[in-house]
Amino acid sequence: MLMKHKKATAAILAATVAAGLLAGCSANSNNTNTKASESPNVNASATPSETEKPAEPIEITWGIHFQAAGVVENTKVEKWLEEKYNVKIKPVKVTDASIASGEVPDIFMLGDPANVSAYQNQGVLSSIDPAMLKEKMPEYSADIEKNAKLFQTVTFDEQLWAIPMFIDLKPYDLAMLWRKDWLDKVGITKTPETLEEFEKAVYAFAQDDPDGNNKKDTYGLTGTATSTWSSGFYSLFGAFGVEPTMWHEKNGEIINGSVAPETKEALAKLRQWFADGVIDPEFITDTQDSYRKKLYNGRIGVIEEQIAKGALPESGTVTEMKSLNPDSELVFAKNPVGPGGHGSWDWGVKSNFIVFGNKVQEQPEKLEKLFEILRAQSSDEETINMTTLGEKGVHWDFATAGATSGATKFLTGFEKQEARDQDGVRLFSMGNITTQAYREKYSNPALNEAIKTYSSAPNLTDALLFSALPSDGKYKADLTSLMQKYFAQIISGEIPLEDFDKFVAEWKARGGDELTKEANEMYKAQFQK
Amino acid sequence: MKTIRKHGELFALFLFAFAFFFVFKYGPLYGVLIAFKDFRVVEGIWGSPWVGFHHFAELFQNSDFYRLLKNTLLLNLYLLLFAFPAPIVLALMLNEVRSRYFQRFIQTTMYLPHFVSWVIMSGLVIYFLSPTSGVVAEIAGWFGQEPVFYMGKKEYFRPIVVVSAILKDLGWGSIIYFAALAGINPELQESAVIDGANRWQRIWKINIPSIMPTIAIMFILSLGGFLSANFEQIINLLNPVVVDTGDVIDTYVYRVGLQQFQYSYTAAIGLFKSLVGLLLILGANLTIRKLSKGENGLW
Repeated sequence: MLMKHKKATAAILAATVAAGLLAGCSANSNNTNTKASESPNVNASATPSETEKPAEPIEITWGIHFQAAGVVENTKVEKWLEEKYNVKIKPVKVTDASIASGEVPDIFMLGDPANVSAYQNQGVLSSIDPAMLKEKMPEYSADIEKNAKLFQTVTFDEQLWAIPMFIDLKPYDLAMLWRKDWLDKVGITKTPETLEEFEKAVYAFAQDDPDGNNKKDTYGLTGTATSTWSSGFYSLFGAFGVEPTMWHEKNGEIINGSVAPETKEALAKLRQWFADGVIDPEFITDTQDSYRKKLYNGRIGVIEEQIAKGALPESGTVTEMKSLNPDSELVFAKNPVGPGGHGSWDWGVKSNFIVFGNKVQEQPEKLEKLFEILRAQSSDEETINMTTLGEKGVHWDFATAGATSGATKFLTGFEKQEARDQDGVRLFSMGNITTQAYREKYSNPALNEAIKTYSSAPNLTDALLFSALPSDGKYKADLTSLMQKYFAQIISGEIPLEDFDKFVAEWKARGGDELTKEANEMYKAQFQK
Repeated sequence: MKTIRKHGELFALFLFAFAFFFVFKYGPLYGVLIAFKDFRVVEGIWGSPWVGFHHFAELFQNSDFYRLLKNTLLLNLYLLLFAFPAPIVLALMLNEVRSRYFQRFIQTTMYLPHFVSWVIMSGLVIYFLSPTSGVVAEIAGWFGQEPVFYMGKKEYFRPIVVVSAILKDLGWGSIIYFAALAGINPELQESAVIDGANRWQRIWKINIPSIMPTIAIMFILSLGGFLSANFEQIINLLNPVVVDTGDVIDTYVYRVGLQQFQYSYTAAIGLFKSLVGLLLILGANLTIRKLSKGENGLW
């Protein structure tokens, strides 16, 4: 009796473990590596919805917009695209891990020439025939003509590996956002324009108690030493005409902003400010999140902010500040003008890059279809609106009632990006692939005006348009880390200013010289006018 | 064969567990080969070309390698000296508390920080140590001390890592020692009391020796991870001024490996770490067995 029990229990236990084993097996092989809460158990069942369509819908594995949190299946937008173009879309999220396991989507986006270069090195991309690109997407090609240098950044071994996109009026250009009420309190009536005026203002913020609470608890500004580039100080370096880690063209030669002599001058200024208590000592541990919070909390009086977030009364940062502190007032201003001009970190005309997975080149009909959709995403108003904004009247409408062009706004329930993602809006959008004509029709004229007024563009953008150098993979991360360490220590006064020369020597020895050489070669070969 | 027939069900059960480990742990082990290859995604593991010890050479020739190694070893040494005994001490002390409710209460509340992610915990640490708004600076002020920016000084980084690690995992780590202490025969304690032993003598002569096998096993296991460091913790606490003392092998791998699909290089580093860990475990187990005359040890 007991023996039977033992056997039965053992058998059940064994069966359970076996089931667990098999479940683990199948989960592993179907692992699509999404970090999203949905775990798409993807069954690509291509049953065409319309039976009268003569051709079988082409299956496309689509890598969703890289800023989207996760895949949402069978959304409105997906179905609309499937119906209009007779395709079956399988949305996937692209991550380094999913690529490493060999699952490459047919079409997806990358942000940097460095990414394109890395992916191409791994052999996961299809090359693109520029002639075919011109033929299939004439409107786009006409527009990008004046920025043809962008093609150079993603051309390796004489072949084109990505479709570059461009942007000229950038809402994310940086300028200065000041606490106007603090300026008033310390007696500064004119919003600072030059570096001297800037200096006077931040010193006053630190020393003259602008929040009126009789405590010395305010600073002029802060930085974020923990982020890859130190936001908060871009505009100061810009006033001297350099940006650390960027490649600049000076007298026909390419040099890196990290080791330029002007950088030493900028560091000297920042060091002085830190010693006088004008820079928040916690800039060493501040992150990009705490950066804005310090403005909201009234700890600092000026930050670098994107034009779209700070220039208009309805901009994100302005409304947030007002909601937290109704007595505060913010004013937007241009970057300070110094001995080297003015400017901040400028991404230039570069936008993202569209790439095709390596299997696409063996499937000409799929390539045809992809070009068809891309062309529509660049010039067909209906497609662009559906994929980027959503359905008119449901997700979005024009800001001024009854308008047919101009600024757009999102309707109730869909103001937040996450809500729109659920319906598929943005997942399949290609962003700046749109034609100039569309952009003019659908942009906010007030924002465009603000950008034209405040942006320092095209000052201080990368002379190589952020192309990837062959030895970047070996040296760039380390050199950036070295720069951050030295600069943070110089600014905080831990090491003397003269150590900058030590830094330059070390930077050059640890790969900087090689990178400079490659940068010059690339410039002469591809970018020199 | 007789044994197998006699305990048939046990073997059957074992077989499934064995299959599980074989498929998921031993099976993928062949992937370690990429440490000796130039792994390319498209060509897969077998198709990628061999490069022999190239990656290892690259690692040892890297001028930073010795700094990283030093930081990693020092950090783990401090953790071994301070963070390893801490849960033992806690378990021993709490075991002496008479009130069961108090014991349970302390145990439960002390487990909690273990479940908090390091992203949050490091944010808290940075905030508490802030010279202007942190608790530590506040308390230092009561004693007339000037606030020190601890996170901005590289000498403080390793102590900060050790202390925060203790705070977080102290409760969780003490669980196993509690379990071991619970297994001590209470008659032993009673007879010791009758013989006139005081509390300290009892702890020293009964409790500690009784849990020594557990301590030995935990020690050996922690040696296996001697070249790793809690990556989550360090990457969140790291900032540019403390990299000289804080950068460890894992943060280097993250910075360099993540840039450009350097799978082979980082696999080589992982293999190196595992090898060292294996040697340490074997060595430690051998030593402990010799010292305890064959009683203690993992195997």
